[in-house]
Amino acid sequence: MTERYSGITRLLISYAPIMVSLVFVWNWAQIADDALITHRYVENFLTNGEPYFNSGDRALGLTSPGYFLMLSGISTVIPIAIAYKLIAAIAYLLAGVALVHLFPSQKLSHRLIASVIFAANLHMAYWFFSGLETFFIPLAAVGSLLAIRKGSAALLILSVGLVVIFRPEAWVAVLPLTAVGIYFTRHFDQNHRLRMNRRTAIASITSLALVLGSVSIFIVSKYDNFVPLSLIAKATNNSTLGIDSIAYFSAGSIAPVNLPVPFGYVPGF
Amino acid sequence: MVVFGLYLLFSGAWVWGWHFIFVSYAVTVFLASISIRFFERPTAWQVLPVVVLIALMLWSGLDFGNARNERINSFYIAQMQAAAEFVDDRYPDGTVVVVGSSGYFGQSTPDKYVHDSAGLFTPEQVKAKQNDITTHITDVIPWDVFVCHKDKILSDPVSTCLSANLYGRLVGNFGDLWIIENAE
Repeated sequence: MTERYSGITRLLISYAPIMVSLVFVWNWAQIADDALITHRYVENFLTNGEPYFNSGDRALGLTSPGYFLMLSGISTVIPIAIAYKLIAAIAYLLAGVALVHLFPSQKLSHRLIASVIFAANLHMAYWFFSGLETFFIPLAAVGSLLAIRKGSAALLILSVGLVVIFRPEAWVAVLPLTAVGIYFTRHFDQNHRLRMNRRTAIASITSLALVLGSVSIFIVSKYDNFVPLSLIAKATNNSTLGIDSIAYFSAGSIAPVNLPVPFGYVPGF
Repeated sequence: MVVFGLYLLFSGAWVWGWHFIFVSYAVTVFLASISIRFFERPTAWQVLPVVVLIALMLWSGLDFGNARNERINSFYIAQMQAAAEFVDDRYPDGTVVVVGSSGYFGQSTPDKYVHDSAGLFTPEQVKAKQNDITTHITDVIPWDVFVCHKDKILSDPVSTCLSANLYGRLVGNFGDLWIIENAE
């Protein structure tokens, strides 16, 4: 099958399912309530120069300062209602392409089946297009895995370092994954070693420091709190571990292949 | 995935559906790797389980997304947004409104001071809750309108929604939402 098609045709066939899914979910998924909180911050910032939910209140209620700044920048050019979907679409495509490239075999049939499985996960696709920034967690995770596979320490530094401004708790997922990836690569695959010369090291670490520094300065100068109030507020509402939370967690974990009955009726066991 | 799963279970923070996007992605990688193995030398019997898996994923995803869309339409648009438009029309700019979910509501009330009852924009509320978890935002900040969410029929919404020492007047109702004006 591989030899029959040219490079571009192979590319089109490989990613056609993801493109179909993208177009469908773009029109299907409705924006989540919390996403509109970020939109109000963006609209106030672009209209009055005040990056606040309520004029003058200086409270950082955003969970993702990085996403807020990205959305603000793009919304200066196109309407916010399209800007957030555009970011989601790019992230979705990147996540799909990265997933296809994670597998050692790049036979067309294998790429196609990986692409179809990715496109068929409408649960995940829905969350990509819900207007929330949580898709940065899998993006950073797969970015760090690809960096380890390709031996690119620079990409690894940027993937792991930047994700914290998009979603602080992402490190809980990304750091262990990166550690495991590096351990297995060092012990079982001598051909794949992280490589970085001094110039690349300086460039990637400086870029990371500049971005993190700029975002930090923005937060300190504009807000009264450095840690988002949303994180503190939600952590204050302590929930205890019980059968309900375990059932909810299980249902969330098997959501991509949940039984075809109305969502929520099956607790996940 | 295990570490992130343990975080979701044990952190004590509220866990919402969108947190599972990472888990969902990891599950996709796993399912894709299994499917690729089935396609090494595909026969009809090896293709069948993959086709069933894809059908199941599509069915499950559509079911999930449609249910969420329905919830957004029936609650956030039909009730929350309608309540916001009511408040926006009835009260002057700068009115302080306390509400349970501030996204759709805040979108329709750009000139009102909207406070989320979880304390997302209200540090005073977060501090008060750290001392006493039962503290309600209407006890902490001066407010003009409170949009109370109770998902059952209330015989006396005002006294159910407010602390005993607060006085309010019911001015509107949109489904499960009760709009109470400060009467003090």
